Order: sequence, then structure tokens, then C-alpha cells
Amino acid sequence: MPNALSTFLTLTIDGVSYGMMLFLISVGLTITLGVMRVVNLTHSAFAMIGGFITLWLMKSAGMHFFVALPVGVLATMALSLVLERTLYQWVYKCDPLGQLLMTIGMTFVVTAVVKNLAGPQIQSIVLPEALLGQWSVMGLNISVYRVFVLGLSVAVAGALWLCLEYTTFGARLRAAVDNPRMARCVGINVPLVFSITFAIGCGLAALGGAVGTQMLPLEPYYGLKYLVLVLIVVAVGGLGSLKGSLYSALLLGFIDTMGRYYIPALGGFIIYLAVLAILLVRPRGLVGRIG
Amino acid sequence: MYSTIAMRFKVGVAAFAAAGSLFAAPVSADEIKVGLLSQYSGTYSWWGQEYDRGVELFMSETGGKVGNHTITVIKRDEGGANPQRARQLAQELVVRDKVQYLTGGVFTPTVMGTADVVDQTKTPYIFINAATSSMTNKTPYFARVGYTSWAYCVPLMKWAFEKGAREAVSVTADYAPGTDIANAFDETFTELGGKIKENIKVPLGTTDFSTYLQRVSDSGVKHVFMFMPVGPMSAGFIKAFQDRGLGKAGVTLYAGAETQESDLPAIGDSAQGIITALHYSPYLETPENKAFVAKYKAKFGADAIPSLASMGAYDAMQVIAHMIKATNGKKDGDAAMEAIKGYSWTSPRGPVTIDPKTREITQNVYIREVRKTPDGLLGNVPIHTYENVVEPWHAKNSK
Amino acid sequence: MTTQSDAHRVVQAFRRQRYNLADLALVLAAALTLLFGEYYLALAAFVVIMAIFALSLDLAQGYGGIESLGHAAFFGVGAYAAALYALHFSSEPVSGLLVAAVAAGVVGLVSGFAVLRTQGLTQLMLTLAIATLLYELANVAKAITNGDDGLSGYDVAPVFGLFQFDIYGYTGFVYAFVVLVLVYALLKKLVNSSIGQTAQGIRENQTRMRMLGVPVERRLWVLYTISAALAGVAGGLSAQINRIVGLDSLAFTLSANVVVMLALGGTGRLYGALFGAILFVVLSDRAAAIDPTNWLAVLGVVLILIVRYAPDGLAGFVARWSAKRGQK
Repeated sequence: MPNALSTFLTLTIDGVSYGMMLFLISVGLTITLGVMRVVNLTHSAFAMIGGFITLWLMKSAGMHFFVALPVGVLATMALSLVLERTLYQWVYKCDPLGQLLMTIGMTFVVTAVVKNLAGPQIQSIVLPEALLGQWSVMGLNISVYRVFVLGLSVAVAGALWLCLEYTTFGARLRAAVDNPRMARCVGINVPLVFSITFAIGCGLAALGGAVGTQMLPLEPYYGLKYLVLVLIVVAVGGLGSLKGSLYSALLLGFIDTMGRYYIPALGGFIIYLAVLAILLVRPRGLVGRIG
Repeated sequence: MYSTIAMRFKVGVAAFAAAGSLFAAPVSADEIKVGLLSQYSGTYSWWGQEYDRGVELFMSETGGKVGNHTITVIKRDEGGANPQRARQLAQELVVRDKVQYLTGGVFTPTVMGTADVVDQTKTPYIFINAATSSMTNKTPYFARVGYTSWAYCVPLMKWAFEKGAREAVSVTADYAPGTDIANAFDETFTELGGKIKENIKVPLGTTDFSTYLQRVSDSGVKHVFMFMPVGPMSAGFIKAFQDRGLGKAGVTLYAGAETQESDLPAIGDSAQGIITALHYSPYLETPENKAFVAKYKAKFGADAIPSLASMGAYDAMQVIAHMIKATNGKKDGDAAMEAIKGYSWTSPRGPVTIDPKTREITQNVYIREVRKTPDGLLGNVPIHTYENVVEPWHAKNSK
Repeated sequence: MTTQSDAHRVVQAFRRQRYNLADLALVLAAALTLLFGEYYLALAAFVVIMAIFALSLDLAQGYGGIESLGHAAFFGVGAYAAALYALHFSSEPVSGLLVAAVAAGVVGLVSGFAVLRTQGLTQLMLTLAIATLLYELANVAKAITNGDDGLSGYDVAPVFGLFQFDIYGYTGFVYAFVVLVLVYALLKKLVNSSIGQTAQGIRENQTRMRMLGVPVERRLWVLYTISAALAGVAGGLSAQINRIVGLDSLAFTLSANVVVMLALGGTGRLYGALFGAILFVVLSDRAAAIDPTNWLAVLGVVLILIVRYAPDGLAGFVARWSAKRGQK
């Protein structure tokens, strides 16, 4: 296979897997924004919490990665449910700017707590043997880990879509998004739907955080550092739109990866230029429904 | 209405006066204050912890006294690479807290921010980590006990060349020190007779290195010189480097402080085999270092390992103690700086001297390899020593 | 004849309400600082600079309803402009401030075109993207900005040829404070003028303002540009007083900090920005001295509590308190 083509293909896989991981982390936020109209800037902190819980389970309880991962996700979901029933009730009462500030405040607190518990250094989740190394396919060297991330995210995205389109819960969720008042009138327990949605969103973030540690390393400031990235994906995709989130995550991941390789002088710029361009052309995002 | 205003005015004055007296601390005759500008909050708080440890170790050894003077260390948090804040803190330390010496310093901009204050008040600043070579030219009251980019680049290039490297690529973070080092790599390696095919710049904060590693493997070289700020970026790069199989394909990675012992656990076993050059390693076999490491572990726990930061802070205090002795506890910046010009002692890193002309530190630079050490951890084990390396940038650019 | 005296009375009413007790208290605080807080003048100057910065954001956010997470872009542009001006052209400070204002204003004018077409989260993201772009630009353009190492080595001449910048910071503080007073007076006039009043109307109900024939987009654009120029003045002051400009003047942290300052102090009341700036800077300075590691947690808790119990910030609290007194 010619060198340039194989480079391009490798980069494509890199870009797409990066984008899918971003999707995992961001989809929860777009759902929260769309369903509950809540600006939740603590979202990326949940990704971090998921990662740290998984790490802790592996280190102290000696669990295998594939066991610690779902347990970590579930633990984060439980934690998020607790927070949703308590602190977030305050958040619901605020106007958008107030929500922004309150959730940023919560992120600060989470960051400080994690720093006290885990120390300021970056931590690493040791991947199991099965995920290390590379496969040689048609002259291409593909990282096993990236294929895993890609596969997992696609599976999750697929499951989400199936759930939304074909289950009763999904129907209720879509109803609650489109018209919360009417949904309540029809007997849908909107607060319950919200709680479950929030938990699912945070669980997805936790999955992304735990799985993506090779691309976004774990550290106490994770919640603040990668918040911008998550917000950008959501804004570009269109608030409340799952499809939008998917498209924007893939697009931005792809642009970022390709841009860094082919135009290195602009490197870190490119993604912001892209965001600027997209938001100028489509101020409501790619699939914008709520402005 | 006027009476309420007058009332408030009086109350205000009283409150301010009271507050003022609380803050102005009296200075006792034989108490010498030293200001420590460090990082305690934010992502760089590791430096704060390490500097504190080095200082505390020194203080516990000497009982915090030099002769009949007691040293008091006043710590301040710079809060990130914020030169304006560093300047404010330095000003407050000198003017309000009446420190005689300043130490600490993690980043170039924050040390540079204090240059005005240091120069105008003649307060010697013995800084530890900031590595841009030209800094000590800014004011005659700066002295560096850490290392500069050039100081470790030149020996590293020499070693790589000696081991047969003729073609290489350099991968550096895209910010001022990175560019500095990229130039250092390039000039030095070319002078030796090698060729740097490409300098790959990586934006700060990059977490996904796939594209840059792609360029590395595309270039086909067997030697890669890297420079990145210590932390998630360097750890991520090294891991990605090994994950991509470049190490297995026979490409040697050369670095500096990136494989610090504190970060090696995060990088993992894939770090083994990386060659680095640095002015220190906790695994040095000299008697001074062994004693230092033993004392360090005794004080901070068996798991604690000294780093270039804690060792640097320890040495900075050593220099300051020397200055206090020389000036007999009086505030005299010129006499203090004179006293340390040419000052030699044996540090845990080996024999060191403060260069009288440049106020840089002349020291050994060690080539180290990441290996599994006897205590089961990963460590930078010294495999070669370049002795008494005079700071190369100043040597090249001396007026 | 009667209408003229009515108008005259309205004008008088406005003039009387322009400056109140809160403003007096702040002037007094500044005078006291100068007299008694001589060890704190560097910190005080920083408070003043942040106050100007917060005022500029209050204009955009509190009066215009434009939300920004990237206001540091203008601060940074102003700072670098003033520094480069001093480095390459003239070390005269007052003209340097004008240069800073113009440079930041131009950036505000250009970016306003994009930012004002959006709202809510998208607007926030756009402002963030622009600020980050400028940050990366400054980092990469090392030849001009000296990148990560910080731009320094420029001299700043004595103000009006008379007042030398000294090590204790007297000149710096007074200089910054005078600029603050001027900016504050300018803003008071602006918000009480037609531009300011219509901006508030736009913030409350855009459609109605449009129906009243107000050129909504143009008003907001003007407001945004002025806000950017003032932020640039704050940046220029910082560059001149500290004689070094770092990349942190363009960083997200600074943008976030000024938003927090407004949250603490309350938006839409001008003096709220002052309260917020004072409170935030003094708190963070003291807290950082006591326990820097957990300052972040404290700030987080303070934010949560403020938003929950005092969403109008400190100024709102003061307003409600003085309203209650008025009722007596």
C-alpha cells in the first residue's frame, strides 16, 4: 500500500476513534442540555470520576479492566443520581448563567476533592494485554486499543439509538424533550425521566473517561481542562441532538487529527477555526434544534 | 446624614489601622527571612510539594539556623505561569515581609516577572527550575541552581552521536522553551556532524499524539529527541511512542526531565530503554547522594524519591546559607552575590560551582537509562557522566 | 415652557442618582489604602485593574445581555498592544493606554460581528473559541510576543513626565485608580444615555425594542466594541504597571475569573463589578496565602452558595438592603 495512503488511513482510524471517544463523553451533556435544559459544566468531571473509580477498582480491589469498567460506570451513575436528587435541584431553579456558575463551582469542588484523594499527578490505567500492541492489516499498523475504543463507542451509540427509537423509555424521553408540559399531562413521570437521563448521561461520560485515558490522561484538573472540548462538541452539534453530537464529534475529531498532521504550523488552532467557521454558518449547530 | 458618613469614616480608619497592624510583622534581630515563590495550586502543585521537601530537609539538618541566625521561610503560591502575580508576590515579600533572599521559581515568565523588583531592591533570587538560558543576564542578582536547556542538550547530543546517531528528528512542544531546545538540538547535533531531518512541533496540551508519531515513523529515522513539559504531555507522548511500536522497531527515544521518577509509574513499563540526560538522578552511587536519599526517605517515607526539584531546593538553601554567613545576616545584595561567585560544594548531584561570570551552575550531567531498579520500581539509572559541564549557551554567547 | 422644565427636572433627577453612597465608600476605601496600606499597593493596583476589567464585562453582560467566556481576549490584546507600543515606539504611558484601547476595540468590532449573531451557549462557545484562537496565535507568534516566556524588557516613562513608577507601587496604584475613576464616570454616563437605556431594553425584550424602531444589532455592536476597548485599557494598565505580559493575560482562567467576579458582585449595576473584583481578588490572595491547595474548593462552595442565595450578587444584596431602608 502506498505510504501516503496508508498514512491517511491510519490517521483516519486515529481521528475517528478520538472523535468517537469525544462523542461518548459529550453525548451525555447534549442529552442533559436538550432534555433538562440544564447547563451542566460538571459533566466532564463525571468522566474523570468514572476514570478514577475504574483505576481505583483495578488498583486496590485488583479487578480486571473489563470488570472494573462496568462497575466504575455503574458507581458513577449511582453517584450522579445522588447528586441529581440533591444539589442539582438547586441548579434547576437558576437561570442559565446561574446554572453555569453553580456547576462550575461544583467542578471546582470535585477537582479539589480528587486532588486531595489521588494527588496532583497524572494517573494511568494499565490496559490489559489484549488491548496492547498493534494489528497488521494489509500493510497498515492499527492500534488494538483504538479499534477497541471505536468498536465500543459504536456499540454504545447504536444501543442508544435503538433505545431511543424502539423502546417505551426512549419514546417517553423524546416526548419529554419535545414538550415537557404535554408529556406530564399525558402521565409521563418527567422528573423520573430526567433523573434516569441524567444518570445515563453521566454513565456514558464515565465510560468515555475510563476508556479514553490513553488519549485524555486522568488527573484532578481533567474536569476543567477538557470541559472546553466537550462544550465545543455539544455546541457545534446542536444542543439536545444526539445525531448532532455524533456528527460534530466525528467531524471535529477528524479535522483535529488531520489538521495536526497536514498543517502542523496551525496545529492546535485548526479545531477552533473549524468551530468558528461552523458556528458562523450554522449558529444553531449542525443539527440545531434548541438555540 | 453627615454624622453617619463621619461615623463610617472613623470606623473605616480604625478598621484599616487595626488591620494594618495585624499584617506588619516585626523582624527580630537575628531572624533572616527567605521568600519561596512556588506553585501550590493548579496542575503544577507537584513542584510546590517538592520544593517544600527540599527546603524542609535542609532546615531540619541545620535546625533552621546558620551561625546564630534563624532562617524563616515564607512561602507564596504563584498560581500558574502568571508573571504579574509573581511580581506582586516578590514585591510584597521584599517590601512588606522584608525578606533578604528569594528562591523557588518554576517557570521562566514568573521568574522574569520579578526581575524588576529583584534588581531595584538588590534582593538575590536563587531560582531553581526555570530553564531559559538568557535569564541570568537580566539582572546581576539572579543565580540559577537548576539547569538550562542547553546544559542537558549538549551532552545528550554528544552521547547520541557517540552511539552512532547521524540522522534524527526532534519532537518539541510548541512554546518558547520548546523552540529554545529545538534550536539547541539542531545547532549542537549539526556541529557534531549529525543532521536533524525535521523538527516536529506539538501544540501545548496535545493529548492525542498519533499524527506526530505518524510523522516520526514516516521520516524513517532511528533516533528521536524529544522535549515536552513534564506532566501529562510528556507521559502521553512516551506512552503513545511505545504503543505505536516505535521502540520495538528500534527507534531510540532521547529525553531530559520527562522521565522523572514521579511520572514513570504513569508512563509504565513502556518507558524502559529511554535515554535521558539530566544533572541529577536519585540513583547516583556517590556517597553524598546515598546519604541524601537516605535522609530524604527517613523524613518523608520509604516510598519518597528525591527529584530534581527537591534536590534543587535543597541546594538553593545551601547557597542562601552561604550568603547569610558571608554577609553575617545583614541585607547586602552585592556582598551576597560576590560571596557565591565561584562558590563550590558537593551537592547530592555531585561537585558543583557557581560560575563567577554568568551566575549559572557548573555541574556534572549524567546520561541515564530507564531501567527497573533493585527496589522494583522504574528509575533513571546513570550510565555515563559528563563532568563539570559549564553552561553551554553562555559559553557560546559570552560577550 | 412646562415641557422644558419637566425635561430639566428629569435631567436633574438623573444627575442626582448618578453617584450614590456606594461610590463614595469605594473612593474612601481607595484613599485609605493609599494612606495606610502601603505594603499592599501591588495587590491594590491589581484589584483596580480587575475592577476595570469587570466593569467592561458588566457593560456587555449586565447591560447588553451578551454572555462571554472569552473576555480575556480583549484584556490580552490590550496588554500586548501596550507592551509592544512601549517596546517599539514610545514608552509614554497614556498614549500606550489609548493604543491598547484602540487595538482591543478593533478586535471587539471584528469579533462582535460573529458573536452577536448567536445567543446562549453558542455565543459562549464562540467567545471561547475566539479567545483560544488569540491565545494560540500569541503562543505561536513568538517573534512578536516572546510566547510562553513573557514579553518584557520595555520601559515605561513617568506619567505626564512627573510621576515615576516606583518599587512600592504608589504611582502604579494612583495611575490605575485615576483610570478607574475615568472609566467609571464614562460608563455611568453611557448607561444612563440612550445607548445604555436601549441596551437594557434589548436585554429584556429584543422584539419589543425592534418594534420601537431601535437598531438592535448596531446598538449591541457598539456596546460590545466599547466593552472590548475598556477591557483593553485594563490590559494595557497591567502591562505598564507590571512591565511584563504573559500568555496568561489571554487565558481561559482569566475569562472565567472575571465572570466569577461579576457573579459575586452582581451584574447590571456597575458598582457590582467593583464589589465583585475587590471581593474576588482579596479573597483569592488571602486564601492562596492560607491554603492554596484547597482554595479552589472554597471558591466552588462560595460560587454555589452565592448563586443559590444571592443570585444578584453583593450589589443586589446592597440594593435590596437600601431599598428596605428607603421604605422606612
